[in-house]
Amino acid sequence: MAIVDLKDNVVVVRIVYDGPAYAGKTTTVRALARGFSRTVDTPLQADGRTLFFDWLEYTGGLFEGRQIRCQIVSVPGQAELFARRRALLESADVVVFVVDTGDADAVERSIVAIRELKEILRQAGGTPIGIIVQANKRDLPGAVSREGLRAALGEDFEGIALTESVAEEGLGVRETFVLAVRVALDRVRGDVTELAVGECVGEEQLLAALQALPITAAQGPYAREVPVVADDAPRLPDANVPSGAIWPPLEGRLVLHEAMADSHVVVKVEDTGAWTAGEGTPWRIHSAASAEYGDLDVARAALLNQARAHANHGELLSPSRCVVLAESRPGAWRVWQIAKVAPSLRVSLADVQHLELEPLYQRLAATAATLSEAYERWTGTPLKPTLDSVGRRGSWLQYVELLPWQGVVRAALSSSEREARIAAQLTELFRVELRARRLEITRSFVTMWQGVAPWDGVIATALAASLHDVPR
Amino acid sequence: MSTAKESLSMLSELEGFLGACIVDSNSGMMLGATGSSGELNLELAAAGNTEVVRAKLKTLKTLNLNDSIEDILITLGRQYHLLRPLSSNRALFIYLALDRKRANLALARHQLTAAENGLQV
Repeated sequence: MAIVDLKDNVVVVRIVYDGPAYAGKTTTVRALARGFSRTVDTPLQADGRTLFFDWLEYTGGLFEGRQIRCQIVSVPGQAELFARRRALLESADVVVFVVDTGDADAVERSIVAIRELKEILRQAGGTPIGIIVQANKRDLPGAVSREGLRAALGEDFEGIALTESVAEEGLGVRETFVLAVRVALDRVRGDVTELAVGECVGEEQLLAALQALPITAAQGPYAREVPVVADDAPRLPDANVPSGAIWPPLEGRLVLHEAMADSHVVVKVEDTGAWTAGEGTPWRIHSAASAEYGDLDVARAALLNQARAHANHGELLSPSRCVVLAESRPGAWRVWQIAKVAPSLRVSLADVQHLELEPLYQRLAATAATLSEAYERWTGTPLKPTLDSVGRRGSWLQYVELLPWQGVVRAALSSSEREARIAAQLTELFRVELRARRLEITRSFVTMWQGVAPWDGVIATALAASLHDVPR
Repeated sequence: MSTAKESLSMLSELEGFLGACIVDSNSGMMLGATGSSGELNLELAAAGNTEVVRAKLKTLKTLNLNDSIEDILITLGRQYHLLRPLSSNRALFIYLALDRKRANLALARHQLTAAENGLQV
């Protein structure tokens, strides 16, 4: 929250630069510093990567007769430094989210991070903190167009300003910064009664506060358990596995190489006894409890089975996957499945609690329709349509979960069976994501009820089922 | 269309040029600047003149004149200061400082108009 520092008679605002690793946060702050003829202070870097923050101070402008001291801070991008990122974001008066728009994959990763950012800021409470998306790397030949970016962001884009930059050359960063200051001041104006008077938290105090925070894995709306590195953890496959131990042979090796390039990969035990890794990275790396073999020939047969299963359903699966066989410990071999994270229906529903009733209802109906389509298309496969397993990429329906290790082929369902299963999925949505709004939706349901719309009955069933645990 | 840097560089060719910047009148922050800071601290000047522009805009509104500001001229003993809100974005203005002895005011206003017309912000 902005404060008035009476000692220096300035208004202090904090502008926090957020975004995935390598999006250009530090480059942006350094470009700003060059323009201000100042230097950036980055305490305790490791291999050139920010561990706490980049810090730049600039005093200029005027607000209510006082100069504005801007604390320009960028967050660390690594997933395990999430607690620091969160603390910095919660202290912001405005957030500039830097997006690498150089290619579609980078934009896709950013969308998940923007949703996470919005959720962090929502949970922070108080006067809303504005977000500006700085579309960076606009000079790259394959850069996603401005319209493409807006379309990719979809409804997540509401209430967000968009600017463009080539931070390496310093283009667009100053304009974005000035807009950010303006948004920060709007926040102060919006709640001027809460403008605190006192001494501002400077770089040293901020560093001390962040040093006290634990290093953990990513938290937030898509969080899973904190990774535990067990003593008996199997070795992960490395990028040099011999040919014949990876499928598909060529593309699979590229996937493996990229997935293993992240040095922060950890292995953990799940309730099922399976081993997973890749928490906080764009990759899911998984091996079932029973996927370890003491006999190399049996292990190769298991790899072949998994490869066949992937090949059989290839066109239904999200892209960038591979299956690998690697020595997990002396005399034992394990089959691993690696898949790039792709957004599921649940991720696309992350903002439902904030939607107006009418668009919310439309979103629920669209979700039900997508699940129904998945049930139809995936009949005769082991792929189970759920909010977590179904994703959409344009008009393409894709299975975004890992392929079941020993999947059972699903038989065709009658339309009433299918509707019951879709209703069960929506019931969970009402119980979790929409928990606080169930009664509100119920009261308004009468006015939204069409009676003839295809999914009215399913939504009504789900809503009614979800209300069973609400005290009346 | 030209960038802020190109437009400001066009102004720097004026006889008697001291400094120029593009300023956000909401915050007083500069979007870009050119010129020596020897005689003039452009950062401070930008912030201070923001108050001038805001006050004049407020006065026009109060007087209900239904008109807009083309430019504001402040004549000092040794300098001219010209403030020109952008017609394409009223939240921004160009601030131009000139040496009064050497500057041609009419030409400066003409050049300021040209710089504004070519500016893309």
